[in-house]
Amino acid sequence: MSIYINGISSISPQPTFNTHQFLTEIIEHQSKYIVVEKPNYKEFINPKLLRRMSKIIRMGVATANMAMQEAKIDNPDAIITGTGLGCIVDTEKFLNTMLENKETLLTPTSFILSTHNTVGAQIAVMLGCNNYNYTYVHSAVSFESSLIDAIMHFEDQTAKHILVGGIDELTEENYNTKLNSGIWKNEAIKISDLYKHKSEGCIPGESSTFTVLSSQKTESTYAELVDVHTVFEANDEEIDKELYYFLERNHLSTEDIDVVLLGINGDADYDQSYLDFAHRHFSNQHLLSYKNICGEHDSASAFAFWTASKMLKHQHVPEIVEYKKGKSQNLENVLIYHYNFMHRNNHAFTLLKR
Amino acid sequence: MQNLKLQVIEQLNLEDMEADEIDVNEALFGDGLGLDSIDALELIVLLEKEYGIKIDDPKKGKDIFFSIKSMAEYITANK
Amino acid sequence: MSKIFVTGYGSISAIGDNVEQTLDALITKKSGVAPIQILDTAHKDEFVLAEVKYTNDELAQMLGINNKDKTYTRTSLLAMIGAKEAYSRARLDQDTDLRTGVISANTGGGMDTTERYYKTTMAEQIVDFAITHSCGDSTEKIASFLGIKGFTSTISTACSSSANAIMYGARLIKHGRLDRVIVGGVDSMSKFTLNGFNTLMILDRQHCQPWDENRRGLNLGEGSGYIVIESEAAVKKSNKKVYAELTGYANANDAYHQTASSPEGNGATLAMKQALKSAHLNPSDISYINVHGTGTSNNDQSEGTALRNIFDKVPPFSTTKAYTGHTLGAAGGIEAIFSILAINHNLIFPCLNIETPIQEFEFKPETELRKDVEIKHVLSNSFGFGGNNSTLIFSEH
Repeated sequence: MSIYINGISSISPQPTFNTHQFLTEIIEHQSKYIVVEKPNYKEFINPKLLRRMSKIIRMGVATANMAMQEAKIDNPDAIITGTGLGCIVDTEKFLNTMLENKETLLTPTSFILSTHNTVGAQIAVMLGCNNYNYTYVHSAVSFESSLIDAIMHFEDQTAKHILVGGIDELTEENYNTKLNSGIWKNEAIKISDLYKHKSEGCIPGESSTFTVLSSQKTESTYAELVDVHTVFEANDEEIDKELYYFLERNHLSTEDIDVVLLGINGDADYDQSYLDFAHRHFSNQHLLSYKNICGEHDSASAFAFWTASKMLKHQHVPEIVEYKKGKSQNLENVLIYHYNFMHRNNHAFTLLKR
Repeated sequence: MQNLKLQVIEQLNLEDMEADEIDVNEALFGDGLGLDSIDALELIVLLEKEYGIKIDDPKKGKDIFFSIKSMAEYITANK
Repeated sequence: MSKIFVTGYGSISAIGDNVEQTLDALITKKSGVAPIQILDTAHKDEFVLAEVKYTNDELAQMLGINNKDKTYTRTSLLAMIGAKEAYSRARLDQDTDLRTGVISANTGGGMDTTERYYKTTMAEQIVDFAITHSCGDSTEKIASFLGIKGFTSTISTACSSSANAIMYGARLIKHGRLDRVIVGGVDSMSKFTLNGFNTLMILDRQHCQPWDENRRGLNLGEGSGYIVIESEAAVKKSNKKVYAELTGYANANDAYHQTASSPEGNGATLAMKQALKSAHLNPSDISYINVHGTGTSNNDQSEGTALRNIFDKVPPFSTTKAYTGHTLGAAGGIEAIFSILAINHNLIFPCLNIETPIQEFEFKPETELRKDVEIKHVLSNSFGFGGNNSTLIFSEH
């Protein structure tokens, strides 16, 4: 049983949406947090529906539509989305109004739109899709929980095409609520300096990535999704064990891996743990970053998935994500490894291949 | 009623609409402007916020919110 | 593929601190809906709720943990109590070489704490609610509290959330990714939730009357409901008691509207149909249905239509939401436990507060406790906003 990535689309702080260029046109952001490059949503979503779509829903629906268009499907057998924090804009709106108005004169729209499964639900209504529809909201493994769900459907042969997405949005207010927790950088750093700066904290961001996974290969196929594995808590020794368990179960060893995408985000200690991990197992492999493109957020790994898929199709590593050059000429097997930054838990391994 | 139209446009986030595009007799729900049950709840809040009129039974909304004209008439009658 | 066996369950809600108390309340028709005691809201005198009648400090005491820094939201505390009972009953402290996980669900996350401290200025921020706000937080708290480090995840699909968590957990076992898993959900009362539902005008200011012709809406509730499910191999290895088997499940989408259910009950019909198929059962095999039955005009009518679509003869059915209130993210988990209790004790729990059953349907819900039926297969529905419809089927072992 093989799972093919037949369509994929991402809206991120870089021009990644609806374009053929693959991370060659880079915006040199320099700010304390980075937000998405907004497309003209009216071109991708029925304008009449836009009025009831906040930022996260627009991002989600636009990328879902593009991914389905690319894969040439209009009614997936399942819609599965992952989000770390859900619909922050509407949550803040309702919460603030509720507190300011002392619980009077409140309106339903922002409450309804704040429910976590809103993006998946909107897509279902737009498509008239009565099929399986789940939303995972679990830190850095929300997207991976969705992928595992999809994999199980394919193993059961109960699906031909599944739409899977990972989305998180950022607001200034939400950024401010975490100012005291010491997880953000104190200054606005250029993204090209992110990994050289060697200081505490990261630059948060946002993105939406949707992909169509299919049981059959087509001319739009990017790559294959092989497997996903997550662990809640693990120290270095335990994570090494989990890595070997994961690779062995897929009949691979560390030497078979050509490229590793790491969840490094600019925080010196956090990044060092990844470099130590790479040093232990992948000293010859290409090491790539992705959070310098999309910023730190729970669904950043969905963006990593986009990067890995495109890279496998084009057989090319864009300069902006190349952290350390490796030995492989052919890019065959790609591993994505990341874990939650704030709590140092929720680890995930994702394996893709050409 | 022009003012009411603008309030409705704002409350329901009908971004690209101009007040003149809404006919006062036009059905707001169903085929007309295509509003739905959530919009009806929004309009109930609008009535309370701007005109101090409370509607306790959402089912009454169907008649009151039929059109801009019926809304205006209800407001005048109950202010 | 492995069968899925239920080896434990645990719950705290308005009708009991644990499952034993809960069963007693169900049998003695004791509802947990009452005037508001715990939630600090401007609407205190306006609504009734099915609250868990303990403060957060008291809940923390029940768990024997220190919550001075408020790192445990009410959601987490309720979750941990329910999960702990399930863990203990299933003796998960043994056979720890088996791959164990937690799949929990909730809709509100840590909002109970967030809303209380949101306006505190940054400088005075005594509680870092930024850490506890997300849905995943309470799941992580369960896992840490019980020493579980493997697969953990959280589902949030409105009122079908914990039914979906149970389904996902079962599939993880069937696909060999886990041997046993604590599954279910939780939600705690918050002003955000109360006011949010109030804007939808679907709350009943009095005790709700689901499945009554003149029903006025729902009462909100809070609590947690968790079950432990294990693979055949895991049960064989530990030789532990099996309470029931999860024999069928399905999730379908109404694709009709953000909050309303289609009058034809499409999503509900699909969910029940597919669940029966997955269980290899006919509609006539079902002994009892625990319907979603929230008490809103829309849900009960839509669900009734779906029942009519599926069943030539609708089996005995009831909704238990007049007891527990609508516990949102916890509903599926709590009602899964009720389904299992029905099987173990051969009981059908009654609907409370019905004066005039819905006229449109020839079938009427049970209004008295029934002890005369052999309960072999129970179907439990949980339908959520966003048209998210889930059905679980439990069978006697």
